[in-house]
Amino acid sequence: MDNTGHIQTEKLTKTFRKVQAVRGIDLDVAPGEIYGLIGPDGAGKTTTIRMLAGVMKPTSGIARVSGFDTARQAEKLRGQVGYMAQRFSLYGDLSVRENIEFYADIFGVRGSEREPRIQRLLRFARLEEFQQRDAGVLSGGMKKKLGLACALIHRPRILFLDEPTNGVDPISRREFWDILSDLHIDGVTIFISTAYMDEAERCSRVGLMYQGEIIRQGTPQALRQLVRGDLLAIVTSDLTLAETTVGKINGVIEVQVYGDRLHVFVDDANKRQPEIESALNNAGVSIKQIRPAAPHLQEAFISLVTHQGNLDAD
Amino acid sequence: MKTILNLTWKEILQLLRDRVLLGFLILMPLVQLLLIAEATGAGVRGIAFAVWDQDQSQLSQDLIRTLSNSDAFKLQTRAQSYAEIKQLIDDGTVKVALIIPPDFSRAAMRPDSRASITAIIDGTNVIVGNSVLGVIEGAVNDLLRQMFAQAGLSTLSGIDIKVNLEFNPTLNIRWSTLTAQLPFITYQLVLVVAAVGFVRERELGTMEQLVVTPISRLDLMLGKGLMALGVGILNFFILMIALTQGFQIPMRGDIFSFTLLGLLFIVTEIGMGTLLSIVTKSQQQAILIVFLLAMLEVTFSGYLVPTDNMPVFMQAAAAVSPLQHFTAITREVFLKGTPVWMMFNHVIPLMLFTLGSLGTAWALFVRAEV
Repeated sequence: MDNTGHIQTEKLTKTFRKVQAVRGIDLDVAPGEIYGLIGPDGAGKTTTIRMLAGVMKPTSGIARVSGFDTARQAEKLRGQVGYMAQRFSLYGDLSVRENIEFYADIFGVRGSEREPRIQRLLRFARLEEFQQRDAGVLSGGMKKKLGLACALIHRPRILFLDEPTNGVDPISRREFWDILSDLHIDGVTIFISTAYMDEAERCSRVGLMYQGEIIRQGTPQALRQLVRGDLLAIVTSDLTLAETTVGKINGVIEVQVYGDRLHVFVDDANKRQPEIESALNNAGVSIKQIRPAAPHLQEAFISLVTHQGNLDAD
Repeated sequence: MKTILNLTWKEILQLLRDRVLLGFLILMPLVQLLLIAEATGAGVRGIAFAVWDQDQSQLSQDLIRTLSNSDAFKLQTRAQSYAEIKQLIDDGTVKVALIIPPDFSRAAMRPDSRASITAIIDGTNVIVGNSVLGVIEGAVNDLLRQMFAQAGLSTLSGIDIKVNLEFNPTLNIRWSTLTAQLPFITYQLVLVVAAVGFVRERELGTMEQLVVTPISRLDLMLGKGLMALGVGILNFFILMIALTQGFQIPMRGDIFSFTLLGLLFIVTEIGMGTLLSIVTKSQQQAILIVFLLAMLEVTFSGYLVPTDNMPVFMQAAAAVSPLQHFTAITREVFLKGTPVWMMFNHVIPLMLFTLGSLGTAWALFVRAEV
């Protein structure tokens, strides 16, 4: 059975001195999936990806990529896997062109395929005119695209991307995802960690990571359902006062501050909306807008993480 | 004012966290003190000497006794011929030989002539050569004063010392020190290039990307090592040319075998540098440590002062320095033309160091986390 593209872990653990960064996680990513790992800072996403890519050895547990043990059979995976680190890891003092050529050489991309492939990568990364520029002076978005180009030069069947669009402008982000979509259609397995919820929505499945553990896993739709209750989005004149006022009302499950508005989760929107309106009026807060909204993954995520945090605190 | 103090406080905190820099700031003054102490107070101690006393007079016996009684000298042999003296110097059995002519005491007593002795000094190490000369002159003067005090011999007109410097006929300070420059400069260059090799990639974060490529640990180590080797070899030949053509220092030994030994030395230092590269956290740390080692080696490699005249515990430290062995080899080959097989007490340790440093570097590198 061809295991290519299958990512699997069993009780994968990594401990740094006294800190358990990753606590025995189990993953099973099917070939061709786009799996998104979401979580707050320090959740252990980067450590997980580094272990999967073979950059770091686990303290205990097993990670298997395409059936090979990443710790013990690492050599078999070299050249099969593409990896993009969170921080810029290419040679700043070499030019864009020199960087891609270096990785092309290292991965053995030679002959007639080499030049067209380099050209294609430069083109989709929109770096053609910047070929001779030193990689270190590129903008943040261009650096990331160069990173992706170098990770793809050898056409890996599996890609590990650690927050690849962090700090990238929205247009470049969309271009980045266009490339990922093409790869997905091509059957490449993509394992990506991201802090952007809209990107998480584009994944086949999503894993929520918190303090070294995967607390929830599933398709974006399934996770969205996990949010309890109906959602009301309220814009008021006094956010802080509104938050405390609404929080005291019976039937309100959760209140989240979302930029300049409140996201209030209630057991029954029809019943509670008028109650909220009067409570706010009594408190002297004027309501600019109150309407039901569909919960996004964002809310589910915040809700689950807060809930988990509360559980841990008990 | 307050802002300045805040800034200073931050600087102090950062300094305290940087253990290597802190260590350097503490060790550097200590090392330099040690260095100066050794270099300036460097005793001329227990120098083996031979004497061919053709006079066999009271005066000549007194002279010999004065010399052997001093801490500086140790009478090794009483020779019977010039050939024997030459042999003893060539072998390195003695560093100084004195030839006292048959008319020594008679010439000393007569007011119209001056007595003379010939001193043959192994000038390979210039600082010692000079010191030895100084001590001999001092002993001779002491003798004269003694005799004057004893017998009121105001007719004693002084003793000339004719100095014959072997191996280094011009007692050119440059020869001894410059030849030692070849190993010392090569040492520093190779060490720096090798030490910066991996830690640079780790510091910049590019190592992470390299690790997921088909490049094996061996490839990485060889790739970086080759770079350091190239620098070392290029530097080696430039210095050879500079020494022989530029400074006109004669190369009396076999160039081919010397080059091979030079290669061994370079490879040893590549191993050492690689080790540094694995254990340090930043390029700055690596370079600071190389600098500190270079300072230590100024003393321990015999660059300025020969190690045989150092206290035992320092000699032990010198014995484990590959640079010390190669410096000795360099001086022997350039100035004395000594063949390789005669320098086994330096060549064998050098070979062992080569294997040891490469082996350790390899063992650590394979296990190192990125």
